Amino acid sequence: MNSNVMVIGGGISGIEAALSLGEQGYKVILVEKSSSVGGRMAQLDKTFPTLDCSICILAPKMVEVSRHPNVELLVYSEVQEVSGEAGNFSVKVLKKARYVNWDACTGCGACSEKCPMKKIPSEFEETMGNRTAIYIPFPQAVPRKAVIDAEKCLYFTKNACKLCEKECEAGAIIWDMEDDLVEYNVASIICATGFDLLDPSVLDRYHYGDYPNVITAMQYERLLSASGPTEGELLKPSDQKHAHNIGFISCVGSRNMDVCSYCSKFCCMYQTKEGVVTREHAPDANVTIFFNDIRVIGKNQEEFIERAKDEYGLVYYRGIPGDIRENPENHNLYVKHANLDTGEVEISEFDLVVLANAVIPRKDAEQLANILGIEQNEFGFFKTKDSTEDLRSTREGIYVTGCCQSPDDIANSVAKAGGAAALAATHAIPLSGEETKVELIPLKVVNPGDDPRIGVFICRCGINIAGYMDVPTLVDYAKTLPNVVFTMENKYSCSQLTQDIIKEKIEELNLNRVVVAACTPRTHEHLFQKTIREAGLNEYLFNFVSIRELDSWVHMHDNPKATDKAKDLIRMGVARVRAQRAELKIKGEVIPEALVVGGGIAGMSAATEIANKGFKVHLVEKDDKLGGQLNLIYKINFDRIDSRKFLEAKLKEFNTQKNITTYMNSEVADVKGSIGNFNVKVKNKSDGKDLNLNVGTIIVATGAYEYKPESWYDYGENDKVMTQLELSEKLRNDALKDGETLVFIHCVGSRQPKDGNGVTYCSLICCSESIRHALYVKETYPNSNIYVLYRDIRVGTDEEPYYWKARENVNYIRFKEYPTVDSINGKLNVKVKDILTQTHLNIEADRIVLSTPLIPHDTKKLGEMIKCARDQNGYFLEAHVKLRPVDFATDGIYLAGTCHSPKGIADSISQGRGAAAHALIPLISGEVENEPLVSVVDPALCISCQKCEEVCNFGAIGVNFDNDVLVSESNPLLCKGCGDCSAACPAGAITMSHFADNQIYPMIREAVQGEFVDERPRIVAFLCNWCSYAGADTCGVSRFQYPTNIRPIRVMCTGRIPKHFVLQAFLEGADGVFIGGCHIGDCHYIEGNYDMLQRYNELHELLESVGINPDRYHLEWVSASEGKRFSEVVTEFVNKVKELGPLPKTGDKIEKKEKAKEGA
Amino acid sequence: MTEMIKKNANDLDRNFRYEISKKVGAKSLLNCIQCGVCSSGCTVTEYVDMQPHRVVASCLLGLKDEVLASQAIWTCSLCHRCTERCPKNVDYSFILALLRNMSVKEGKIPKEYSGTVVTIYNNGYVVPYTGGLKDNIDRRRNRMGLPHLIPPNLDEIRLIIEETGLGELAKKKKGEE
Repeated sequence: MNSNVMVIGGGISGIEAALSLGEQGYKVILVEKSSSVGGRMAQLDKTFPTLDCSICILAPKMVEVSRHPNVELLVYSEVQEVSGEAGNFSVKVLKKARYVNWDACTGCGACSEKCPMKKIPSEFEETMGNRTAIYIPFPQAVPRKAVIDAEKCLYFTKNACKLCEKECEAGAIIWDMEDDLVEYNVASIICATGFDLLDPSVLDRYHYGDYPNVITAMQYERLLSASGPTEGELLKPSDQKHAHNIGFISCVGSRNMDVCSYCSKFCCMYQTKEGVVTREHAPDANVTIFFNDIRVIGKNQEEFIERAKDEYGLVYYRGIPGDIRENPENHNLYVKHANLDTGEVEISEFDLVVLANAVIPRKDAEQLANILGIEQNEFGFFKTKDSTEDLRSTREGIYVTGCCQSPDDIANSVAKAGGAAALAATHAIPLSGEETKVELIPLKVVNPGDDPRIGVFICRCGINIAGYMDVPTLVDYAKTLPNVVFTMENKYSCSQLTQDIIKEKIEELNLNRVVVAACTPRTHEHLFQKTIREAGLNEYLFNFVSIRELDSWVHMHDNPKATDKAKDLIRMGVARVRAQRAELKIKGEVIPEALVVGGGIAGMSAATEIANKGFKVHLVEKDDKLGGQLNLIYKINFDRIDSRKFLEAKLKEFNTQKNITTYMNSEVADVKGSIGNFNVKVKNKSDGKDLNLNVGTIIVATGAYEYKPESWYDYGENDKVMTQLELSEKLRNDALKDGETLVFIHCVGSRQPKDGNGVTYCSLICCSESIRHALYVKETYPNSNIYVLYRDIRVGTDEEPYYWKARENVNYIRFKEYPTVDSINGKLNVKVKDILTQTHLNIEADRIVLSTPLIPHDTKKLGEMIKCARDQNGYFLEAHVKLRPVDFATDGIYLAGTCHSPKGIADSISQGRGAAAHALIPLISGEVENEPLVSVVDPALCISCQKCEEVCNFGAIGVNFDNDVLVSESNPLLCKGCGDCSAACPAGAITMSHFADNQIYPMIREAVQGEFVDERPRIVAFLCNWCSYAGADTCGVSRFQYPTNIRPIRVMCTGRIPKHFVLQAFLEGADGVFIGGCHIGDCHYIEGNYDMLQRYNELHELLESVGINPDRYHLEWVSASEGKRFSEVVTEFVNKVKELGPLPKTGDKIEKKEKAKEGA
Repeated sequence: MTEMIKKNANDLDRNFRYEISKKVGAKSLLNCIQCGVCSSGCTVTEYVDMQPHRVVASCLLGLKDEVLASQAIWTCSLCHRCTERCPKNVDYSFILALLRNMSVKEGKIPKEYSGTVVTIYNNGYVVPYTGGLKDNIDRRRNRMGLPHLIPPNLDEIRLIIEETGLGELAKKKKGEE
C-alpha cells in the first residue's frame, strides 16, 4: 500500500486536509495553482461572527503546512492527468515555469520594486490595486517567493528590460526556465479547489464596471483590509474620499433562475460582518443591507445579526433593489428598493454600493472534473452520492471538501477537510516512524546565569494594533529596556516573512530570549515557539505579550492610554522572559483506544472511521438503540431517503466492525487523566454496574433533541397541535386525511429575544424540514390546504429549488408579529398579519404544525467531567469557532454533531469523520508531548506537611513514605500544571516550571511601576488561562471596551495564586488587585478555584487588619464565553477603586485613611 | 402606509392563482419568492395603490376581489422592467394583461377605460373625427400636403368590439348615458 495522498487546492480546506493527513503520518502532496497557499481566506479582512482577523488566524496554518515534514508543497502547479484507481492513482502535475529559482529567492521584493510594469491589476487585490510583472502575490504569501508573469513581462513580450535580474542580489532569475511535468503515485486524492465569484456585470441593472462606486464584496474586503490597497481606509473608487453611506445588495445572481438557481449561502453573514467592521472603521458611516431572507448558516450567527442591529446600528431592509442610478456629478448612487415590511417603494442615496455576487464553480471545474473522472451536479459543483454525503465524489478514492462541493463557510470547510482526510486515509498506510523522523538543529545551550539577549518583535497586525496605538513609540521604548538587544515592528508578525526574520536575528545577534507583542498566546504562542525552536532556541525562552485582545481592541478610543498600557505590558513581558529558563517537553504514551460518547449518526461516523484504522473504539449510548434523532425522522432530506433503511444500512456496516464495542443504556460517570491516558468510568443505567475504560482520546457527540413547545399555542393540550417531528411520524403512518387545512408556524421558541420564551439562536434545519413536509403533504393529500407562517426562509444551497417548488402550491405568509391561536368549539383559529399582502388573516385550521428548535442534551455534568466549556445556549464550546470546530481547548477531546450546534445529517456525518481524523492523530503516533508545566519540589526546603497532597486533585504530588527522608515528590506524568500545590506550600519548596515565582514577581513589579504613566488607579489582574484570560480574549475579539487601568498577568489556574502575590502587588504600589477565574464547578483542574476562593476569603480578613480596604481586592468568575461580562466586571472594579482613591504610601497613613472610610 | 385588509381564509379564492397560472404564458406567477425586485424597478411606483410584489402575493394568496378592484393593474405602463429583472422570470406585465381581462369580465373597469371603448364604438377613433376637431385636423393635413383621412369601417370595428365581449361593456355604458 501507498502512503501518499494528494490534496488539490491550497485554500483553508486544502490546508486543513493536508495538515490533518500530515499529522496522522501520511505523505501529502499539496498542489496549488497560484504561487501561494491561503486561497480566499487570505483575501478576507475579518471572519464572522467573532470578527477575528482573517489573515492572522490563517497565517499560522499557512506557515505550518509549508514547514510540515510530511507535506510536499507544489505551488504554481496544476494537475494534468489522473489514471489508475483508488489505492493506486498516477497523477501528472504540471509545475509551471516561475522564471525564479526559489532556492535562491529570499522574497525581499527588490525585483518588484524595480519592475517597470506597475499597472497590472492584482488578482489578490481584486483589481483594486496593482501588481508588477515579477511579483509576490501578497505580503503574507507562503512561500514568500517571486514569480514572473510571462504574459506581462517586458522581456518575454518585447525582449527588453531585465531590470529585475540586475536588482536581484541572490541571482535568482532564470530566463530559460521551462514547465516541468512530474508524476506522482498516490493512494487517494482530495479535491479542495474552492470557488469563483460571478462577474456582476451580467446583471446590468447594477451597472457594475460602469459606475465606479459600485463594487463587489470581495473588493470591499480588500478596502477594509489594513494590508489592502487603501491600507484599511474606506475610500470611494471615484474620488478616493471616505465613504459615509454604504449600501449592501444581496442575491446578486444567486437565487436567480437565469444566473445561479441556488443560494450562495454565506453572503448574508459576510455582509453583516462587513457592515459591523465598517462601523468600527468609521463610526459615523451608515450601513444599509438589502436582503430577501436573511440567512444565518451557523453557530451564534443569529445573535451576531441581532448585535449588528442593536449595537452597531446596521439597517436591514427586506427587498432586493432592482435599480441603481448614478449622480454623474459626484458619482453618488440612488438605489430604488421595495420595503417588503411596509409594501412601499423607497429611494436611498449611497456613496458606495457593495454587491454580494454569487459564488460559482471555478472556471476550470469542468476541466478538472474530466481530469479526475468525477461528476458535477446541476449547478457545476462537484457531485456526491446523495444528500447525506458531502465528501465522497462519484469516483472511489477521490474526495471533495470545501466550496468546490458546495458554497460553505470556513468552519464547515475545516470540519469537512478533516472528514475528507479521514476517508482519504483509508486507502493509504501511514509512513513509518523512521520516515517521519524530523531532525532539528541542536539546541543552543542557555544557562540561567548567561546574560539575557532579548529580541522584541512588535506586531502592527495591519491596523488592528497600529490603528489604536503608536507602534513606533513602542519600538523606541522597548529598545530602552534592560537586556533588549533588538526591537522591530512587523506588519504581521505571524507571516512567514517575520518567522524568517526572527530566525535570522536569533542567529545574527545571538539572541537567547524572544518576546512577541501581538494578538494572543492562546492562538499564536505555538507558532512562535516552533519558529525559535527551528533557530535552535528552546521553546520556553519565549514570551507572548498580548497587546491586541488585551489592549488595542478594548481601548479603541484612547490611543495615548492604550500606548502607555502596551509599554507596561511589554516591560512586564521582557521582565518575565529574563527569568525564563529552557524546559523540556514531557513525553507520554497514548493508549491506542478511543471513547465515543453518543451513538447518533455523528458518533457512529466518528467510531467507524477510527475503527477502520485499526483502533479499538468504545461507544457509549444512553438510550437502548443507536441512531439518535434519525429514529424519529421519516424521510431524510429532499431526496427522501427512507430514514429506517438508511439507518439499517449504517448499522449493518457498523456492526461488522469488530473494533467497536457499544455500551447501551450507559452513561459516562467519571473521567480522569489527560490526552493519551484517560480513565473513564461508564455506568450502565439498567443494571447500575460500573465499568472502567482506559482510552487515549475521547469524542463527544451527545447530540440534541427537538424542543417541545409546552408554553406555545395549546401544544400538549390540543392533539391537533404538533411539532414537525410529530407530523413526520403521522406521515410515516399515513395518518392525515385529504382536504385538511394545515397551518405551519415557524420559529416557535427559536430566534427569541434574550430572556424570551425559548432560545435566542436559529436552529438552521427547521425551514428545510417544513418545506419537505409541505411538499410531501401536498403530494400525498393533494386537496389539503397549507399555510406556512414564516419569518425568513433559510435553506441550504441546493435546497433552494425545492423551496421554489413548495411555493407554487403552498401559501407562504410572512409575519413580523407572532400569530395567535384560539381554540373555539374545538376548532383552531389562527390569526396572523401577512406583511406580504398587508392582510389580517383568520385561518380555521384542522392541524397546526410547529417548527421548534433543536435543544442540546443536558451535558453540564459531562462538561465538568471532561473540563470542557459550554456556550450560553448549552452547546459545547469548540477550541476556535472558525479553525478548530471539532477540537476542544482540552487536548485529546474532540466534538461532533449537534452537541456543537444545530446541523443537518450530512454535516453531522462530515463532522464526525473530521473529529475522528483529529482523534486519530495521537492514536497513530502513539506518543504525545505534554507541556513541561509541572511542579518541582526542592527537598531541602520541604517540611513534609502534606499541604500539597491535600490540594492536588490528580494525585501527582505527595510525601513518599517509602523514602528514608520524608519529603514530597512530584510525578511529572500526572501533574497537570495548575500550580495549586505551589501556592499552598507554606515553605516555598515547590516551583512551577515556566510559571515560577521568580518569573511572576518581576511582572507584578513592572505592572505597577511604569515611570511615565501617571494614571491611577493601577490594578494588577491575575487571570486564569482557561476561563478569565479566554474571556478577556473573547471580550477583545468582540470589541467590548473597558478602562485601561488593569495590567493582566496570565496564570494557568487561580489556584496558582498564593497570598503573597497579592500582598506583593499592594506592596509594589497597586491600588487594586483583581482575580479572574473559572466559575465554581468549571475549573479546568477540578477544584483549583475552590482553593483560590478560600485563600481569597482568608486574605480579605488579613487585609483589613493591615489597613488595606478589602474592597481593593476582588475575585470574579468569568467564563471563556463571557466577553461582555469581563468588560463589565473590570469596569465596575476600576470605578470602585477609583472611588477609594490611590493606595497611600506609608503604613500608618493607610490605616487611618482607609479605616475612616470604612467607618463612614 | 398602506391600509390593512381584513380577511377570513375561507373567503379567499384558493383557485385564483391557478385561474391565472393555467393561462398560456402565465404559469410563471407560481414562481414568485417575494424578493421585491419588480417593485424596485417599477416606473409607475408613485401612482399605484399596490406595488407589483404585493399584487403577485395577493394573487397567490387568493385576494381576487382586492386585486381585480385595484387600480394598480390599470396604471401599469407595460414597460416590462419588472419582467426583465425578475430573478424567477415571473412575467408580471403579461399577468397584468390577464388581470385586466378578468377585471373587464367582472365589469370592474375604470371609467376612463370604458369611456374610451364607447368612443371607439361610436366613432371608430380614440380621438373623435367630427365637428370642430375634424376641421382643425383637415386644415393641418392640407397644409402639410397630406390626403384626407378615410373614415374607418365602423361596422367592422363594432363587430370586433361585440365579438370580443367589449360590446357588452359598450352597451352597458351606452345604457348608462
